[in-house]
Amino acid sequence: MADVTHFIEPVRAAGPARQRARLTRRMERVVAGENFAELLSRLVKAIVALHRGSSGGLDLLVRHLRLAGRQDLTRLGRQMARAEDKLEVVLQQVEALDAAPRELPAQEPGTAVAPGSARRSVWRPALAGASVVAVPLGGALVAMHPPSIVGAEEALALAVAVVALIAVTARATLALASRRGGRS
Amino acid sequence: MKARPPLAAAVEFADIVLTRDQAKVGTTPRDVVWTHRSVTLYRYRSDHREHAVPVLLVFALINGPQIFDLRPGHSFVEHLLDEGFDVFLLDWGTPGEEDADVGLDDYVCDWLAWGVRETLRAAGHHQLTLLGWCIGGVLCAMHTALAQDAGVRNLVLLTTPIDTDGSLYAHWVGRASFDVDALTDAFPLVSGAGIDVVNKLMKPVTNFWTTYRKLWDDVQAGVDRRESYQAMAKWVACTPPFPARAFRQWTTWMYKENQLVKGLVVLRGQRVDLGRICEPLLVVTAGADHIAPREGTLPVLDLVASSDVTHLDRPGGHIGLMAGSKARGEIWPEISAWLAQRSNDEVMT
Repeated sequence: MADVTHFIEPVRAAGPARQRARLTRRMERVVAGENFAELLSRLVKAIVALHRGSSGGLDLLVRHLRLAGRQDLTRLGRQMARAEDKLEVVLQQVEALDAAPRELPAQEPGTAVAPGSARRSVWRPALAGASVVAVPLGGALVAMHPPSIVGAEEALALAVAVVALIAVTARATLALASRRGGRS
Repeated sequence: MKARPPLAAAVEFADIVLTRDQAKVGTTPRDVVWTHRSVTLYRYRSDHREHAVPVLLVFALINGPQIFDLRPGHSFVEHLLDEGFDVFLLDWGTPGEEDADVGLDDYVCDWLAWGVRETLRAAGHHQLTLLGWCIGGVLCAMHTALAQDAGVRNLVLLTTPIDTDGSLYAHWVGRASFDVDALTDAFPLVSGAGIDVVNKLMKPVTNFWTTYRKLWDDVQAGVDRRESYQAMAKWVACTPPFPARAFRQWTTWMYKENQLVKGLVVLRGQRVDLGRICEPLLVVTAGADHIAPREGTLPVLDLVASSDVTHLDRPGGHIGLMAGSKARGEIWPEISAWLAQRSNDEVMT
């Protein structure tokens, strides 16, 4: 490291304010030098080595005594901190889910819709129409020809009745689903 | 103002220096909005908010954010409140050893992002102004570059290091012989006091001698500097530690490899490209800043894509520029005027 005494001696000859200014400049030159930077690096290495020797050994001793050492407490603290991180993320997800239905914009004509809802919108009128036609037709056939498995005519009446039942069930399911969606 | 005899001056000097911790800093009334681990988001109370866009203050990971609100009558927060801003502060707090694995990615992608989110929610507005100081400025710039739709309306960077090539820090810790890995492997937290000593060594005579000499001269001359000296000294002495992983990343990315200015920093798989910043930007540099020299901040002006970029360069040091005796009359009004022009599209009723 540079010897600073030869900087300080000539400075003493000047006035106090000028002395300080010159000393300031010269000391700043010293700390900006290669030697000072190297000294700082070695000092850090020495501190690290001393710390490892003392703190590490002491912690090992405490742990061998079956007592919770510093590392154990730190590990516990870290687990708690990670749990808090996860809790925050979960909280944000819950808030996002809670906010999602309210954020759904009203659908305007010509706007894109999700594939699932598009499929539903195609099938809904067809199923509704089928059920409207099938229910009276099926009912009339069943009334005129009570179900029986004897002969083709009875079998046809039974098949129509089954189709009508399916159509009615589908219609009721759609009605219930749309009512639940409207409520949420 | 009456000059004191040497003995009385010595007693007063010793009293000021030794009772430093009794100084009250950060006294502006505020409420806790959100907490997570050591991080706390505060909102300062105000009865006349004129600007809809709130301001979120973010300080460095070294020293505390109380410098934004140093003492009554000399507080940047107080000034912003007087100007009608809704002011929030993200305080990183004091990390513990369990935070050793916290990195810059956690600060930028989680804690700052969540702080922004909570600020917007509390303020009831969809945009805010991010104001970062020193490392806080780097974190804010990284966040703005990464999160394009996060609601950042304006970005203010105060004495922020961007290109560290040729700086004294880079000379000290950027060299191969400075083994940051060994340091951060051995210590879960890098001592804040140690970092403070290294900071002071950058201007050794000024920090270790001139400060006390000036106080002594003022005490002898009968100038009352108790409040101002003690508040600043208390803030300087408040040195929270630096989480090991964040320190290793900061030192390696900023000083050993100078990655930020080259666009090589990657956080959670995303490259931090400052060219993606297109928000209005105010960059404040200090002529005598030895920690984040002006030459190291200016490259950000060329890197960003913002069409609205303002640069204020004023005399002063890294901290003195914003917290010095002249700040209240010079730099604070300039910053608040810049903000007011960009926060007025929606006036609160």
